Amino acid sequence: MDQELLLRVKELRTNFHTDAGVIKAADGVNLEIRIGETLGVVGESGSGKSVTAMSIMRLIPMPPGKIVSGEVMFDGKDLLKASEDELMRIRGNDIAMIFQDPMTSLNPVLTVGEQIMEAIMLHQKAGRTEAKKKAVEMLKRVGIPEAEVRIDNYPHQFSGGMRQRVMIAMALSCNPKLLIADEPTTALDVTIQAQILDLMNDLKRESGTAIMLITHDLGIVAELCQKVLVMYAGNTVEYTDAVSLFTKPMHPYTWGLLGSLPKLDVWAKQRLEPIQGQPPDLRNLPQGCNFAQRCNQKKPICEQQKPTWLEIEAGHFVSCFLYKEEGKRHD
Amino acid sequence: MIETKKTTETLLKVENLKKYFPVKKGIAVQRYVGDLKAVDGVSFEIRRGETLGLVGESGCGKSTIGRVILRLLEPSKGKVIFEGKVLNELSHEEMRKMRSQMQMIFQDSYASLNPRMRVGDIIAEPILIQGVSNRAEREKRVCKILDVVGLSPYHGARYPHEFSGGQRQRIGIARALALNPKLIICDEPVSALDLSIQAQLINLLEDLQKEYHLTYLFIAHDLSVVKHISNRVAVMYLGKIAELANSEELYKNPQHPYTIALLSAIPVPDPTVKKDRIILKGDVPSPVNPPSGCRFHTRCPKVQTICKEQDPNFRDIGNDHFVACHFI
Repeated sequence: MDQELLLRVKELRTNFHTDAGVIKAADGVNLEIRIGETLGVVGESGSGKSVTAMSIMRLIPMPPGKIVSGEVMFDGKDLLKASEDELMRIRGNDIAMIFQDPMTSLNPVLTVGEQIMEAIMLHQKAGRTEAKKKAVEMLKRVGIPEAEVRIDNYPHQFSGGMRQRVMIAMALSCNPKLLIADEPTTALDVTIQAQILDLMNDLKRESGTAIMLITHDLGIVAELCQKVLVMYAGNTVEYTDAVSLFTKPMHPYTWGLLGSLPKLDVWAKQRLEPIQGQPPDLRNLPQGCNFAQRCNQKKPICEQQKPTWLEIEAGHFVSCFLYKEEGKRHD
Repeated sequence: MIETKKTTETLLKVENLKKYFPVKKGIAVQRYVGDLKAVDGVSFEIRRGETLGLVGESGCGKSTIGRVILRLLEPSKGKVIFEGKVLNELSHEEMRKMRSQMQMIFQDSYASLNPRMRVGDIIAEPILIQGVSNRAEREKRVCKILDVVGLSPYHGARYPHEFSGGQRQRIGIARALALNPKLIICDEPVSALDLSIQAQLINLLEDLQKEYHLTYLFIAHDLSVVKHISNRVAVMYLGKIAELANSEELYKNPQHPYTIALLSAIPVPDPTVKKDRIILKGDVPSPVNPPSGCRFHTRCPKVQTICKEQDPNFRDIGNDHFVACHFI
């Protein structure tokens, strides 16, 4: 395993047992994040992006959820085998998380200061005064004006963008090695989103924190991420660096996504080329490739077998039968 | 962008439209404390056969405009003129007849479809209300419309919850099409959908426009989608239109500082492009107590004293390009 590797997820499978059947939310997820790197995870709703993040943090509610198999190696430790005590030390300290909706992830009856201080006091063993000092400093760093006063405000006294800044301050207060950001700007307006992306970029440069950025916006991926993982119906279908993904995408699903994108810099009359059909029902996945029924490159084998995760070119992984022969097996 | 049947003839005209919502305080005795100025003096026209995009951030009043046009909300001031008729002067009965010519598609396809009605009945209802009493005739029309939006006749017997988001939005479109309207107001019709489904729906809307010579008012916050589908685009900020121009002109040659900032804020899906992004400071001010003068002055990078004192006129700067800024 290479020295720089911070997180490696191998063949992760997470199921949810419901009355209507077993939902295979993550069905063979593979990914890698190196120290200080930003990985964008893209995919449509229900593709398993958030479930993957929650499985890494072991925050899947069990039951109904169950992590069936796989490996989550973080900093040399398999988180799927870690005890609850070990996880408590890691969550919020080594791995922090921010969510799409900053209102529901902040406690409405505590001031934002207390919420930021809680993590600092717990993980850094700091006293109240010291923690408060650090909290003010963090709020300043994320660009909250009059941080000394605002620290005693409650979440409802902040706007959406400001709340997301508070969440970022809280997440970064313990200098995590990995920050998992689940659609951090989806609920925000474009100009506010630009502020938050700008802030995340600055913080990334200063702190060297690795980021796993879950988003459905390919624009955000292009601007912020070095590596990209594309997910579809619980599978990881393509993983490569951001430039390759946009210049020579390999998986037919990625082609479809890029063809569905209205472009801002094209002036000629254009017609979108969407993927036909809809994603499969996760309770009733096909025998073969999950994308086969919508794929315009479909071969007979695609409906019979699941494709394997292959490294087609150095650092470019694809799970598709189009590339069966050329690739060498990824171990 | 659709070229067919686009004319310069005005289908709908909006004149100095205002919509204020009273703000009240108090639990037992409600006291009037001011107005929320959702739309505050907006004028524009929609031409027959075109798509006019209306973009802006949340709370800028774009959805309110759509609702006021259809008189789902009564305007506080101003006029909406559709094919020469002033809608605000029509009686309820007359307005009901007019509504067959102007329909709406909503963002939340689940909330806008009655969960206890079968899809066929949902689409048949407007046809019934407009006086087609023959059941067989209605069913025939429903089947045809379902086919047009890419669903099958047997879908008519199902309930809304049995469909995916994209399919439900197709049902919403089918219902809007049921009466062969001239104008469809699309209020964020694709924002809740995933990218691949969104692209299917955009193509469908374009095809329908060509086939039925529809005119769209396309309300959205996604600037890439709006650019793709619109012939002309209006940019709103805090209840007013900041800039209006044809789509290519607006995106290539934006004049208003807000439009420039808004366009620069869009993340471009191309990692080789490095953009100079203009980051606007702060949040959008409250429409209850909007800033004096130009409403954008609190965040504008080019602000001068005059901006705080005088509201700029919405003027034509040539080439069918309108801007409300003192310095253009």
